[in-house]
Amino acid sequence: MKRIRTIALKEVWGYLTSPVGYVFAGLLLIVANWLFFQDFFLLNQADLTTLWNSLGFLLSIFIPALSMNLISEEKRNGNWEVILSLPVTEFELVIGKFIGAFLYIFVTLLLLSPTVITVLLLGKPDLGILIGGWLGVLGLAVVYLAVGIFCSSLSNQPAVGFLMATILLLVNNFIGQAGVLQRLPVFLGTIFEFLSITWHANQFGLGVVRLEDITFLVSTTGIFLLLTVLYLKARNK
Amino acid sequence: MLSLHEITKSFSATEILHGVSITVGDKKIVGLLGPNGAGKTTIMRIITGFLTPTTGEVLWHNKPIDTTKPDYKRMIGYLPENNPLYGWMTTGEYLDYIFKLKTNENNLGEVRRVCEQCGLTEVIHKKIEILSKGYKQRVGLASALLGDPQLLVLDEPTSGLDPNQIIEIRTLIQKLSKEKSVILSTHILPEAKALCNDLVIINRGMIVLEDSVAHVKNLEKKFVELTA
Repeated sequence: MKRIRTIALKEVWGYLTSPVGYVFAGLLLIVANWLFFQDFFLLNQADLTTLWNSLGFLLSIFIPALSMNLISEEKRNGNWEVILSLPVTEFELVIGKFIGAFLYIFVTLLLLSPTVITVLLLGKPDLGILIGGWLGVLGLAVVYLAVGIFCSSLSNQPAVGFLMATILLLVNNFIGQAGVLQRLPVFLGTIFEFLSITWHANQFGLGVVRLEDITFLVSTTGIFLLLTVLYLKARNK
Repeated sequence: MLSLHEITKSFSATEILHGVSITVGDKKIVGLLGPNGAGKTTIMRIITGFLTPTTGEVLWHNKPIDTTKPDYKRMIGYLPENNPLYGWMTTGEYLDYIFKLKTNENNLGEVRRVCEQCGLTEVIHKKIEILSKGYKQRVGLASALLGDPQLLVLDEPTSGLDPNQIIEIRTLIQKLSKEKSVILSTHILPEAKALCNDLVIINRGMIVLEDSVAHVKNLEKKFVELTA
């Protein structure tokens, strides 16, 4: 457990001491706020749904950009050889990096608080839906990060991990959109609904916290992290 | 101290090492020589536990040992060939990070000890990315020394250094070998002769010579004969 904490803290420290960390946070906040506020006053509704929806899309690009280096960079420059020759397991390495990157994303998303406070001051949004939307975005971030780490582990080239994760998440995001699901036959729509991370996360935004959505998000995260650990262990094959 | 016994290593269907047996004596420096692609790095990775052998066993004081276990890994210090470091960290931060991963403990005294041992005290607060190659190599060596391991595994420790830096690192390795066993790989035959007690030449995944330096006459000629 201590090693996981050490690796996680090193990751957070890495983001805080590099320009990439600030550029990532700055860009995400600027684009998310711009997308949200461009229609906010026209709609004249104290509702954060647009913010949560745009974050769902933005995170499917930003999180792969953030996670692309997590494993591939270590493999490319040989640091994983040093770390795994220490008494550190692949599990500790992957979980440590996952927690570190998640803490950074969590803090970045907390920086959207002024936007939420502004909406609270201007109107009376439904608090259940507001908190649900926030939880949905967090759930989305967790799963996206697990997918990003897995894709990062597949290659020594960060760009390859980024492209794979982005395509995977954008497709997943697309098939979970209500507009797409409505146009599909019921049978196919049900399958796509079940497979879409975004669709499950969006349920929180409707103010509905269902065990099946939580189970889906947690198990998908677990599966991708497990696949990453297994893939790293397969270096012996 | 450490022996590899009939080690083979295969990736997919390709066998890289074919029944390799090596012994590293107590407080001895063993030089691992061979052309590129001979299998030196694979042997080192097996010794460090980064890779596991397909068949054969690793013996520690004549007893088979699982090289993936934390207790074994704590007894090994490893400096890989390209000496990967985190440039954005300071020397002290990097060594502290590696020490915590190695021992699960917090001990700045140990970081200071290895810094003194490797002549890094003056750069302990400097970022690694601004250090010279010689200093970076010392940081890599210092990280291998953390936790006072009994065996040092050094993959081409003087590669890419200028002559003065090579002499510095060689002197340091010789000093360390008074307390620890060392296995080092190198392309530089005069270096192997100057530093090592025993030599192992590997070619195409097989040991073609294992002897003490004193018994090997005209190493250059022998190396060419055995690896051509």
